[in-house]
Amino acid sequence: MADISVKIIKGCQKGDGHSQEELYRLLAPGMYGLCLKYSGDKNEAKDIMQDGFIKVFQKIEQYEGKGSFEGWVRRIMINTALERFRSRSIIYPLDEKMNNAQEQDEPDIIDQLSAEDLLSLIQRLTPQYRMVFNLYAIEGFSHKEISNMMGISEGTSKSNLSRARNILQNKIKEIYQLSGVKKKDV
Amino acid sequence: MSETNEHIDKLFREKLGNYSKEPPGDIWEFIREGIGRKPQRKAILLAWRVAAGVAILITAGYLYYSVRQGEKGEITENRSMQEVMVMKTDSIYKSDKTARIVSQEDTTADYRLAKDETKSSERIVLAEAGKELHRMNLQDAGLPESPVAIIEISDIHLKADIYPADIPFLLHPYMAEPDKILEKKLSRTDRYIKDITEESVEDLVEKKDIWSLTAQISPVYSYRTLGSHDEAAVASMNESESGKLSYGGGLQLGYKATERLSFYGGLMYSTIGLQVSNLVSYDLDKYIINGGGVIEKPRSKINIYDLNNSTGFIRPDKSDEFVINPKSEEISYSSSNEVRTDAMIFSTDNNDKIDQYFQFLEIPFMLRYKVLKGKFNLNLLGGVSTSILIGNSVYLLSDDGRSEIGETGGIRTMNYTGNVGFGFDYDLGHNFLFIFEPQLRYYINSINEKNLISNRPYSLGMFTGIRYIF
Repeated sequence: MADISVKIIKGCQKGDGHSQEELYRLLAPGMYGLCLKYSGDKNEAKDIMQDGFIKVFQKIEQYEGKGSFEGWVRRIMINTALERFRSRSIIYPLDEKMNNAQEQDEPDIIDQLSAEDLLSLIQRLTPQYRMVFNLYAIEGFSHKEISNMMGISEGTSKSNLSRARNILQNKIKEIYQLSGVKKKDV
Repeated sequence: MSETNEHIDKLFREKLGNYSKEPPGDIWEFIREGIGRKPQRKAILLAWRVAAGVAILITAGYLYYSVRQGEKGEITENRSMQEVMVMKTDSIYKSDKTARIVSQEDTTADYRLAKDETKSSERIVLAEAGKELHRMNLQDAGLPESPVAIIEISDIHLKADIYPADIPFLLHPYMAEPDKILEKKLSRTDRYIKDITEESVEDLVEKKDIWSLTAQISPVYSYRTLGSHDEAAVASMNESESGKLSYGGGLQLGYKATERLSFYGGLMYSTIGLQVSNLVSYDLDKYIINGGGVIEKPRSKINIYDLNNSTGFIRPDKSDEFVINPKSEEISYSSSNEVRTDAMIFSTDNNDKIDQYFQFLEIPFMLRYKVLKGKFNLNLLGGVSTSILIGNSVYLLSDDGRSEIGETGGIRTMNYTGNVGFGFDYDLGHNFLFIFEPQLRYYINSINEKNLISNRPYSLGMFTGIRYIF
């Protein structure tokens, strides 16, 4: 967790450029990591990151000091990703088509699967599966919350999650087989 | 399976939950440019909002004051609603209707509903009941404590269940410009509107209420005014004639043009009547010739005089009774050989009466202006009616009872009335109003053009009924 001082927040609330930059530097890695999870690629992650931070600085005077500041920023980022998802989801196909053209890592054992490996698996999910999986598995939202956030039914959220898990599971199995590792129940 | 699922979830959560990565260096430049540009736009937006807000507050305040005068106790709630309006819309509409919203946690909260009338589509404003909402004013607001949502209803299938959990997504101040956010969210009404309770749907439907259907009935007292140079005749008629009580009623369709002004028209049935007293009636089938003998049915030999009163001539064509007014009429007979002119008519009584009735089908065109608004409304009514004569009858009231003797001749078929009145409405709920409307109708024309005396009836009715608003 980044250590954000009250002084930095107050500075940002007054529109002080140095404070803004300092805040950005402190939060950027975590938020960029988050944005990557909600994106298909780096460019999309950059877009979400930029839009999200602009919102943070525009609305920072409304932050009342209740709750974690980083959590507040994180939520803005997720909302930005959701907004983007909502505005663009229509152009994506509903069914999953994994992009096999992308180069895959071949880890030896499951524990050696790096965060980057998992990230690339997530990034190759369709936007809707990725969004549901992120919100449920990583952020811990309920299906009801997800259905409200994404504008889909709870049933869709559940089936998307199950489909996303299946895809991820199969991909991981594939990686094991390719690397000659004994199949494990993952 | 679920274990596997949890395993997968856990794997990703542990490895990616706090995943961080140094972003490309150019992102900060874009962000800095982005925040440098926005405040200007924001300032314009703010200035616009403040200006709009002031204008709306003045208008709303004025309307509010003029409408709600004397209805204390609801002021606080309505004021806070206005402030919501200032924040979100250019509406001046207020409502104290409530909707029950069931939250995710199965707790319920009452929300006030109001319609933004400035938009062509329905826009419902929800504000948490009983809470001051001025803190929601975006210019000085922190994170909202009392959730508010504005839901656009694209059609009137108001099946909605608005989850408070949605509301932060609707209005959370850290989202971009609120108006844009709303627009975006509101296009997805299916998400936010699921299942409002029955009662709320009715309330919302009532907000449409531009049409009304009214059924009413009234006892009608009618009399007439007379105009003539012959003052003696008028005086005599005024002495022998009196007003009658009858009934009227009908259906009317109304259209609400503005919040206060409505037009309505319809089809009404009304009866006006007149009673003439101090008459003498005779049996035409018998008369006594000189010497005491009674001769049957010499009617063709008798010159029958019409009874002349202020409405015209009454022709006794349906009865053997013949009525005259002894003060103003004489009766004479043909001078044939068989019947002597000095024959005595068989007289029955000199204290008989006749009742004249005219039935009209009225097609009113009326304006209704709402003077006082609330649970109880006071309206001013005014307009004109076309009155079409559909019935005309005269009854003799004698010792023998009541019998129809004929009709009054020369009555105009098409007549016109001017109508004025007061309308009291009481909201019964479920889109029904109880109405009570004392009304005066006055004939613009004389109902008998051929008569030398101009007779303009008037009627006073206490119309009571039910109005349905849809």
